[in-house]
Amino acid sequence: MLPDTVVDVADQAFFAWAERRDGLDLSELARGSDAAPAALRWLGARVEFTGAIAGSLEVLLTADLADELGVVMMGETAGHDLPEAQLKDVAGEMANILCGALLRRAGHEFRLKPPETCVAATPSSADGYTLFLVNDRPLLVRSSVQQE
Amino acid sequence: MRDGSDKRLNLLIVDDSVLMRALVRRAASLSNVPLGTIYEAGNGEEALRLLETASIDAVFTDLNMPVMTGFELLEVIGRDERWRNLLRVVISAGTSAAPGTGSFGVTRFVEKPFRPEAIRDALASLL
Repeated sequence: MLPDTVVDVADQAFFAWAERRDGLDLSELARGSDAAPAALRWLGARVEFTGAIAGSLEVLLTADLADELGVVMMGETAGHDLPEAQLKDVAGEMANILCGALLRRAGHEFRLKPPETCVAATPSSADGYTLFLVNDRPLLVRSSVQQE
Repeated sequence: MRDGSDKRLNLLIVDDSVLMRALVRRAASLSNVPLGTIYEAGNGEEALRLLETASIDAVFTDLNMPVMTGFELLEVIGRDERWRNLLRVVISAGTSAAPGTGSFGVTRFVEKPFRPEAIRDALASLL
């Protein structure tokens, strides 16, 4: 269910192309990027939900991906560097929309809390996450449900 | 707008995300609905300040916002006679409780993610 949701949200909310990629090495992805090192900063966002079930959904994405998605959403021309607040805004909306779409697709009643965003440490691996490529850049997603 | 006049619709977009406000603004601008001024607010409190001072026909609001949520905003609007005819559209990913918004006089509910056509359709439904 998560892969389909990510593909749909990337397409509809961010006008981007996404695919699940298992077995990819994050360090290889970083080495293969032609982006400036500063653009390889990672951003994180986490959304908690309550309702029929409670838990959270977390995303990690690179700042250059957030910039690309944000520029498209703003309707501005490519190459414009968004300020950090707007890059975090992209990460937060990604988590917010993904979480809502996933829970709606699962048929659960829910209510989301506002997303919390941060500049994240570079993940050493994708362990514990599901790895996607969005416009050929990594997006890591994981969700957790609180046990009763 | 509902009286068939050629008045342009003044919109208020309420969302804590600057990017989402920009996206809704663009989608609204691409619709063929005659629009006047498009105002923006980052939360319910800012929205109320604008409603107090500007002539606004329709509000498009997120629900999940800091400071004052969309639910709280809709509750205040619903209690005030001045805004009895204000058209209300919810755009949100934040809840499965779309039916619950009915008690707030919500005309339309648009789920995130949405395609631009959803905003156009919501605007058209207000005419």
